[in-house]
Amino acid sequence: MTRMYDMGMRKTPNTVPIHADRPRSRLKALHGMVRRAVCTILLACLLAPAASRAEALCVTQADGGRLCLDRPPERILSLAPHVTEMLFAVGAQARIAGVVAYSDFPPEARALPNIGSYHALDLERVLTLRPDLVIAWAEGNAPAQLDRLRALGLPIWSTPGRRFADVPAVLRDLGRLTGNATQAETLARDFEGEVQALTEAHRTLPPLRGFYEIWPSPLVTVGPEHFISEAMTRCGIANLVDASLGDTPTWSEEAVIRARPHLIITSPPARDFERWKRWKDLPAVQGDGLIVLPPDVLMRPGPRLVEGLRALCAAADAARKTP
Amino acid sequence: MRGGRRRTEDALMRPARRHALPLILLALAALLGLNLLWGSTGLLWPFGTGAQAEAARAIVLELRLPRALAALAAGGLLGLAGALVQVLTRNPLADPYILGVSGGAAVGALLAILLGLPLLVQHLGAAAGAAGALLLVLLLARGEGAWTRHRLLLTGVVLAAAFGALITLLLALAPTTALRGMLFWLMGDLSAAPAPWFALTGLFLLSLALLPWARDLNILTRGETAAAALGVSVAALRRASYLGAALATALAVITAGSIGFVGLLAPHLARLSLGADHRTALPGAIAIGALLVLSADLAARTAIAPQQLPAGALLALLGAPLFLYLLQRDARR
Repeated sequence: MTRMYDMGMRKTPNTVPIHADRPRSRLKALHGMVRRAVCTILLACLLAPAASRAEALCVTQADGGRLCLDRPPERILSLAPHVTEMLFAVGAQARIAGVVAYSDFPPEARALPNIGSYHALDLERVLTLRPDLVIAWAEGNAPAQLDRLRALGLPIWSTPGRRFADVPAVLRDLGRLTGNATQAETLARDFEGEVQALTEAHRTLPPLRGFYEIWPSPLVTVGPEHFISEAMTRCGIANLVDASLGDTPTWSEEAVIRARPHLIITSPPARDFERWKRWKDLPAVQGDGLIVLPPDVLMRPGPRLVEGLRALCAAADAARKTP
Repeated sequence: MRGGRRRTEDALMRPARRHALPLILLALAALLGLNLLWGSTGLLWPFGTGAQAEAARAIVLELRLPRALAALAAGGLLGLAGALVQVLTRNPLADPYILGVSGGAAVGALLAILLGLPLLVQHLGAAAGAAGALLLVLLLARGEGAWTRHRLLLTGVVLAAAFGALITLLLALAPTTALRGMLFWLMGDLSAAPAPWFALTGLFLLSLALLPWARDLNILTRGETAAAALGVSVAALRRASYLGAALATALAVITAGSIGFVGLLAPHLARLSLGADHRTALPGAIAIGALLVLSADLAARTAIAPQQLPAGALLALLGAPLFLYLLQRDARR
C-alpha cells in the first residue's frame, strides 16, 4: 500500500513526498523515529523556512499516511457531498473545480461542474478540469476508483469520515491547506464545543433504546461503528443493533419489535415510515418516538453533522418527557 | 438428442411413484408450521394466555404468517410456470423468466424503488410492468406464418433481453441507498412481500384451470404431430399453457421479486421424485416450488439473525446440491 502510494507520488511532477509514515512494528517505528529526528534536525538547519512551509501543506490520510503538496491547491475536486460542504464552510469555495453528484449544499454548490456519480466518475471530465487535488471520502468512494485516479497521476486525499472526531480534524487540515486556517479553526472549535456540550448533557440520563432506519425494504440500519450510532450514544440512546457484519446491515423487523424501542428514527424520504404505527404496544408508538429528522444532516459526516446531533438529542429529550 | 428422448419415454413408461406426493405435501405442511414458529428472534410459542403469548401471537400472525404464505404462493406459482414452460419449449433448461413477464415486472418495481415511492406503488409498478410485458408479447406475436409456432416464445425471449438492458440501466443510475432495495428485489426477497391473498388465490385458480390439461401435456411431450394425431388441440393447449405460465410468473414476481432457480429446479425435482407423468408431476412441481422457497426464506431469516439475507441468494445454495444428489441417484438406478 505504502509502495503504491509512493509510486503514485513519483509520477506526479508537482508534488514532493516528505514522508509516508505508517508504523509497521515497534522496532521499525523506533528506527524510523531516530532516522526522522536526525533528518529533521539536518533539514531544519539547512532549510528551516522551507520545511515549515512544506509542513503546512501536509494532511492526514484516512489510513494514517500523509499527503504533502508543494503549493496550495487551486483546483480541487470533491468526491463526496459532505466534502463539498466542508470546502464551502472553510471559505475555500473559489478553489473548487468540480464536485460529485448530490453535492447540493449549500445551494451554490449545484452550479459547480459535475464530475459524475460516486460509482461512475466521468474520468474525461476529471482530467479536463486539471485538478491539483482530489479529495475523496475513504468510507464512501470505491478504492478501485481512487486507484484509477491515482494511476492518472492525480494527488488523492482520502479523508476519514467514520467518527465525529474526524469532522473537525478534516476541517482543520482543509483550512490549513487552502489558507483558511483561522476560519476552519473557529468552525472546528464550535463543532467540538457543541458536540461536547450535548454529550455532557445526556451522559447521565437513563438510556433509551433506539433504532435507525436507513431504508425500509429491505430494512437497512446502522451498525455500532457507524457515526449515526455514535450520535445516538451521545444523545443517550442505545442502538438496538449492538453487533453487525458491516456498517449498514439488513435487519429483521421482528427483532426491532421484540426489542421494544423507545425511538425509531429515519430521515427523508422516510418511505412507508407510518407502517410502524400498527405496533401499538411499542414504546416508540405510544410516546411519539417515531422521528423523521431533517434530510441529509445526520447522514453526511460534514459540518452539518452537529445539526443532526442537535435534532436527534431534541427528539430524545421529547421522548423522555412523555410518561 | 435421441438418447434424451428415449430417457424421457423411459421415465414415462416407468410406473409413477405417486406415493411420494403425500410425503411431499406432509413435508410442506411441516415446513409451513416451522416457518411460523421459528424466525429471526428464535422460537416463539403463540398459544396460551398472558402478555408474552399475546406478543408472540402478534409477531406470528402479523409478520411470519403473511410472509410464509407469500413464500408458499410464490414458490408454487413458479413451480407450475416452470413445468409448463419446459413442456412448451421442450427444453429442460427453460425457466419461467424467459417469458418476458418477469422482466417487465422488474422494470416497474425498480423504477418505483429508484424514485423512492411507497411499497404499495412498488407492487403496483411490478404488476403494471408484468401486464404491459404480457400485452406487448401477445400483440407482437399475433398473426400467422411460418414462425407461428415459435413466435410467442421468441417474442417473449427477445423482450426479456430488452428488459434486462433496462434493468441494468436503472441499476447504473440508482443512488447507493436505493441500490440495496433494487438488488434484493432482483435476487428475490420476501421482506417486502404484499399481502399473500392475491397470489394464493391466483395459485389456486391456475392449478384448478391447468391440472385437467395434465394428460394432454403428457402427450405433447412426445411431439406436436403425435399429439395432434392423438386428438389433442395443440394450438389451444400451447396458448393456455403460455397464458397460465405467464400469469403464474407475474403473480410470483410481484410477491417475491425475481427469485431465481425455483422455476427451473422444481419441475425437475418433481419429475425425478414422482416420475414424468404430469398428472402427478404438475402438482408435485407446485408443492416442491413452495417447499424450496419456504426453506430458502427460513434460512434467509435465521442464518445470521437478526441480520437478514435475500431468500433468492440461499435458494440456489440449498437447491443445487439437492438436484445433483437426485440426478446421481437417478443415474445409478
